[in-house]
Order: sequence, then structure tokens, then C-alpha cells
Amino acid sequence: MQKPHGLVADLWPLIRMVQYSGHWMLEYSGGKALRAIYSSAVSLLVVTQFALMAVNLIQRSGDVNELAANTITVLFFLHPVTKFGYFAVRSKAFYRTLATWNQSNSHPLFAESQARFHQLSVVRMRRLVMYVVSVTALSVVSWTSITFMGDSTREVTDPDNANETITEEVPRLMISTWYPFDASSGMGYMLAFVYQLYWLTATLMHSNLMDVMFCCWLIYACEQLVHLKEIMKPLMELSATLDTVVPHTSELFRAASTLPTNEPLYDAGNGAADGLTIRGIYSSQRDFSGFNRRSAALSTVREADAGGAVSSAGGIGPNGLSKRQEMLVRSAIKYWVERHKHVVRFVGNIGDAYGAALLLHMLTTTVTLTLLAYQATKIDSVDVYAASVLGYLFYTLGQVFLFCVFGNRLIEESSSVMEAAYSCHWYDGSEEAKTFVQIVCQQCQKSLMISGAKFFTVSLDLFASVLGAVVTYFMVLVQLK
Amino acid sequence: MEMYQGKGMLKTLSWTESGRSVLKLNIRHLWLLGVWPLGHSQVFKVYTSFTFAMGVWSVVECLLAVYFTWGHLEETTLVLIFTSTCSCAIIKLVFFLRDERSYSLMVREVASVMAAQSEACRDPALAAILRDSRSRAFRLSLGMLLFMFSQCFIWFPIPIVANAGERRLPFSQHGWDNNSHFYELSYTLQCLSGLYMSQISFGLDCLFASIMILVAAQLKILSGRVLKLNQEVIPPERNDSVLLRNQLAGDKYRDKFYEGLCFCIDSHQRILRFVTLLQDTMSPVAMAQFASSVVIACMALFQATYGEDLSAALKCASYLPIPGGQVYLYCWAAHSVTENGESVSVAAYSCSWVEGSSRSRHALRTLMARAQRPLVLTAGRLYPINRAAFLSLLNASYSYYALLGQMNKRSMKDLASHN
Repeated sequence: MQKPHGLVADLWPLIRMVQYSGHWMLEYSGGKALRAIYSSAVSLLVVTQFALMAVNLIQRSGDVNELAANTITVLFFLHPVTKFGYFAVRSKAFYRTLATWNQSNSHPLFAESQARFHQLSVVRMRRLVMYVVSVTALSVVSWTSITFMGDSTREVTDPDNANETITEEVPRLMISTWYPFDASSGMGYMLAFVYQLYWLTATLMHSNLMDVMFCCWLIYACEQLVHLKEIMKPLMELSATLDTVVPHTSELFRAASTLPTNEPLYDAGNGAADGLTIRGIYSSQRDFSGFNRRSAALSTVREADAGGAVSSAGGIGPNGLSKRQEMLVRSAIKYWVERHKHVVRFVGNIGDAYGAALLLHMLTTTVTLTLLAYQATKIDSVDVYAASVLGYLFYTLGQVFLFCVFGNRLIEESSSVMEAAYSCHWYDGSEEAKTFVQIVCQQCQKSLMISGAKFFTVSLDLFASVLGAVVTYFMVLVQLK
Repeated sequence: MEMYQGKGMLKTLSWTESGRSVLKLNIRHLWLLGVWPLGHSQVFKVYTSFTFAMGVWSVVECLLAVYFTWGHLEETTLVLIFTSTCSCAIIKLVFFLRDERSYSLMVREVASVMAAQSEACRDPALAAILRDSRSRAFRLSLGMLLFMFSQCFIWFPIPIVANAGERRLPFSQHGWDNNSHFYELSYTLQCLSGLYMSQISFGLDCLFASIMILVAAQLKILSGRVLKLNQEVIPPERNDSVLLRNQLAGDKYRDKFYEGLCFCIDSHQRILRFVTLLQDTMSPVAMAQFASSVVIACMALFQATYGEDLSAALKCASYLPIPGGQVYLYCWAAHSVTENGESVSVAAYSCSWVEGSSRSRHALRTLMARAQRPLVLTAGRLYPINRAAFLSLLNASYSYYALLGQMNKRSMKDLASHN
């Protein structure tokens, strides 16, 4: 078994959880056959319970209130089931996206900044995973506990008199389901309860872990963009030295070295906790910390050249830089461009992998929210019903909000690359640097974004429009009442 | 149009020429219906005018029927579905006859654009894109036209089977004489005109969709070419060999990059010119289609849900995918053109321009600037055709449907209060 590297290593806890939750993720660890058996068992359990719920929905379709409530439940769990199936079908695209960062270029001058932002993104991703997993656990707990509150009855038509209704005892289970056995008491009840508890946890985890993985990718892309923005300025200053003789080159390099660096983030604290996995990644890169080291690197190159100036093919050029320094600067520009292209490709891969799932998600969510707005008009007091409707509502909106926030951040970060490029001293730079800035600005005219199979773009605007639609609908229903 | 004048390209397409074209199926299909003249034949002109007259007669017949059934919402909407289909086809036919030369030109230009990039299609990946687009355009046209044709088997025999002995006509009833005169003749004529009009309308849509699919594939191939620019050059190695290469061999390989880029830009310009031509030709036809599809969809939905006559409801439910499909065809194909046009810019950015010479970088930047402007096709210069347009048309159709439902409810209430 090979050691995980690249993005897989950064997301290792998440990948592990995805595997344990029963998703069809067969890569990244040994025992493929065992994993396949486990995943098929989980799929069977998930699909069976969902089918039983659908049976219940059809059986109880007579009463409008119950029909609406059951439809919401079924739609709510349609997410996890579709995402589970979606991942199983499209896992190749997911692997491809995860493998995007397996081979990425690096540059000695910017290794420190890269490592710092990489570390930052790892910390952020893990924090997000932690938050979402705890919220999921919390919702499972509250869902389970709410079933034991209030009275558990429902009104059905009296079989003797069609005009009367009688109340009927309903077993205290999280999800109203039809079972082939008697689930109201004894062993049957215990079995059904345990099954539902497992099912609830598993399905909520399935859908949320997928969403979190998507968000983590976006976080990673954003941090890379921030990294690129940060190194833009020193890059321009470096390239300014290429063109002609700049009188105070050494001062310039010193000025660059005083740029603020957030060393503690990389060295202490968080690094220690994640050190085990992180060290493996960094060992391949040369450890430069701080720009002072970077300019030191340049000046050591210069000294070495000065030493062997007469003999070496390069020698000092007209701009006062040795050939090797020039090469270093050229390669820095190349590094920047290649890195940015890589981010663009990465975002493209993310869109390929997850776009269709987002579209399915939004379609289901729209219908669910409409029904929830209808249910919400029937709230008249603070009780179990109100709590469960609001719970559904906030959970569903929260899911949409989660990926909208990160999609929005990607749009913002990518469009501000142009601002970063423009705001540095490109006018002092060489002709080469100016064309470089031009092309980068041209590319950044269109910001990077994730689209839901090209039907919508994931941004806060999307969330606002969904929310607005729900509120409008709710108002209309209240008016009609 | 102007830029093609004087090139001798504004001639009518001949039969052999149509056989060589990628759009053979679409052209021959339209020829069979008496729309697209291949060569100069007087007989064909008579045939065209016969088709045209048949369409006009159907519209007049329908309008009369609407006049006689005015007030009966259900019957009126049923007739209006057919009226709208027919008049849409007539409008399209008129536009075709007016712009016939630019249609021929379009067919020739598709061939020349494809020929210009055929050199590059030696690459297996790009060749696959080309092959894929051709077979997709063919399959789509064939499938859609057959689907449209299958509608005939639902609409034509229903009056004989379901309303036997009532002397009903398939589309519009002659309210003035209760179908007593020329029943057989009218029946045949209505079937024939229904077949012709629907096929003409759909045939033109399929023609445009096929062209758009081919253009989108050409843009995709262009992106692939731009992306592959300079790929044959060995990646820069460390040490002094890079220096040497930069000093000695540098100019040569850089110029190769520039040359390749220039070829790509030339192809891009050709495609853009073609898209302008396509836009000019397609825009009125697409507009007519959009307008009529919205009307047809809401009427058919109304019939399928509120209608009391089961056979009419069945007919309309089976017809519903047609207007939706026609609009989606345009929206989907035009959207993919836009999308692939934008991907050219991304491809330009993703090629290895850092090593290129300064003039090639300037050229690249200009290419990117142009490619970033979206290639939007419009309907009647009013609506941009894209997926958002599809959604908004669905919305419009639904709101008309809701309005019809309200009107229906009100008229029911009036009836009840009268009784």
C-alpha cells in the first residue's frame, strides 16, 4: 500500500470517514474486496429503508397533512441516496480531482509561502470537517430525542364510521416507515429503532461528507489563489531587476525581505498536531522559511556566480544580474503561471466531479423548501411539530448555505487576482513582466466559478434567491389562509 | 452576407453538392418537403407553392374554426395548438424562401470551416471530437424527425377510432357546415398539411441544431489545438543547456509557436465569421419558434390537465414534449457554442505561453480578449439563446397556463350560475 500524498493526505481524516461511512471509495487503502463487500452491505441497508419509506408514503397518501410531511421526509433523504449513488457512479472523476495536486511544481523562492498557505488550508479544511461532523451528530441526537417528546399518535378514519376519526398509537420511531413486521413493541420495535438510528447517522453522514469534500476542495483552491496573490508583489519586484540596471538592486531585495510573514502558523501549534502526516509531504521540498532566506538564496547564487564569473558561460549581464539569477527570476514567473493554470484546472475538475450532484441537490431542495413553507404556515404554537418543521427548514437551508459560501469565496478570490496583479509595481517591471501581467489580467476578467451542470453558479446570490423564493412563497400562503 | 459577396458563393445549392455536405440528411429532408430547391427546376417551384398554399389554407381553416368555436375554451385551445404549429411553419418557410441564398452559403461555409481545421484533426483526440459531433448531429436530426413523425400515428387516426360516426376532422372542425361537405377531402388535406407543416418546422430546427453542434465541435477542436501548441518542444532542463537553447535555438522554436498560434487565430476568425452568418439567418426563425412554442406548450398543458375529452388529452400529452424539445434543442445547442467559445480563452491561457516570444504573447492576449466575449446567439436580436432562456420560456408558458386555468374556472362558474 502506497503512502497517500497530495490532496488525499491533506484530507486524510475526511477520506477515512468517507470510507467508514460506506461510500464506494475503494481507492487509497488496501483490502478492496473487503471494502466493496462493506459498501454493498451499506448500500443495501440504505436503499431498503428508503424503499420502505416510499411504501409508507404511498400507503398513507390519503391524508393531505400526512402526505406533505411524508413527502418532505422522503425528499429530505433523497439527497443522501442520490449522493451515495452519484459517488458510486462518478468516483473516477472524484479520484481525478483528488489526484490533481499529486504533482505540482515548486520554486525555491516561494516554497515558504506555499508551505504556509498549504498548512493554512489544511487547518481550515480539518476545522470545517470537524464542525460539520459535529453538527451532523448533533442533528442525529436531537432528531432521536424529539421522537420521545409529545404524544405519538395520529388520526385515522374510523373503519366503522367514515365521518369520524379515531386516534391511533404510532411507535416512537424517528421516521415513519412501513415495516413487514410489527414495529410497535418488543423485539420488532428494538430492531426498527436500531436500524433507523444507524440509517439516520449513515445517510446524514453520506450527504454531508460529500458536501464537505466539495467545500474542502474549494478552500484549497482559494488558499492557493491567496498564495499566488501574495507572491505577486515580490515577483514583480524581482522581474523589475531583469530589464535594465536598477541602481539599488540589493536594497530592493532587502525591502522585499521585510514583508510580513506569519511564521508561527507554520511552525508552532497546529503544525504539531498534524505534523505526522504533514511532514511526509514537506520532506520532498526544500525548506525555505521567510523571504529573508529567499533573498539570501538569490545573493548566494550571485556570490557563487561572482566567484566563477570568468569561467562560467553566463557572467554578469547588462542588467547587473548573473545569468543564473536571471534564470531564477524567469522560472519564478513560470512558477506563478503554472501554479495559476493548475488552480484553473483544479476548479474545472471540481466542477466536472460535483456539478451534476449540485444540480440534483438544488432541484430536490427547491421542492422540499416549497413544501416546508407550506408546512410552516400550519405552525400555531411552540410544540414538537414546530420544532421539527423548523429543524428541517434550517438544516436544508444550512446545506445550501454551506456550499454557496465557499463557492462565493472562490469567485471573490479569483477575481481579486487581477487586482493584486494591477496593484503591484508592474510599470517598473520588464517588458516580459508587463505582458505577463496583461495576460493574467485578461484571464482573470472571468472569475473562476463552480456551476451546477451549467444551470446556475454556486454563489451567495444563489442562496439569496432560494431564500427569497421561500419567503415569498410563505407570505403568499399566509395571505391565502 | 456582404463579406461573402463577389466570391461566387451566393449560388443555389445543387443536388450533388448537397450529397457531399455533412448536413445531407437535413438538406434532403427539406428538399423532400418542397422547401429547399436543389438546382433550378420550375417543377420544384410549383411544388413549393403547393406546400405554401396548403399551409396557408390550414391556417385560414383554423382561424375560421376558432371563430366558430369562440367561447368554448376547450375546443378553441385545441384548434389553437394546430394553428400555432402551422403558422410557425409558414413563417419559417417565408424566412427560408427569403434567405435561401444565405442558407446555401451557410452549408458551404460549414464545409469550409471544417476543412480548414481538418489538417489538425490528424490527432486522434481531436479526430474523435469531430467524428463524435458528426454522428451526434446526424442521430439527433434523425431521432427528432422520426419522433415528430410518430405523432402522426396518434393524431391522424383518433377521430376515426375514438369518435367513429361523428364525422370529426383531425385538427379543426368546420363549424359552418358541421363537416358535411368534402369530408374525405378535408380529412386528407388536414392530415397532409399537418404532416408537412410539422416536419418543415422541425426540419429547420434540426438543421440549425446540427449546425450549432458542428460549430461547437469546431470550437472545441480549436481549443485542443491551442492547448497543444508548442507541446513538441522538450521541457526546459536545469543547468546551462537551457541557456544554450535560449541563445541559439531559441528563436527558431519560438517562431514555431507564433506560427502555430497564427493558424489557430485564423481558424478562430473563420468560425467567428461563420457564427455571425448563422446568427443573422437563425435569429428570426428561432424567435418564431420561441413564440409559438410558448403558446403551444401552455395550450397543450391546459388540454392535458383540464380537458374532459380523453382522446384530446392523450393527444396533447403526447404532443407536449415537442414544443419543449424544440426550444430545448435551440437553447442547448446555442449554449454549447457559447461555452466552447469561452473555453478557447481558457485553453489559450493554459498553453505554454511563458516560453513564447513577446509577439506571440501579444497575439495570445488579443485572442484571449476576443474569446472571452461570449458568443451569444440571439432570437430576433431580443433574447439571448441559452439555458436561462429555456427556463424563462418554461416559466412564461406556465404562467399563461395558470391564466388559462383561471379563465376556465371563471367560465365554469358562469355556466353554473346561469343554470
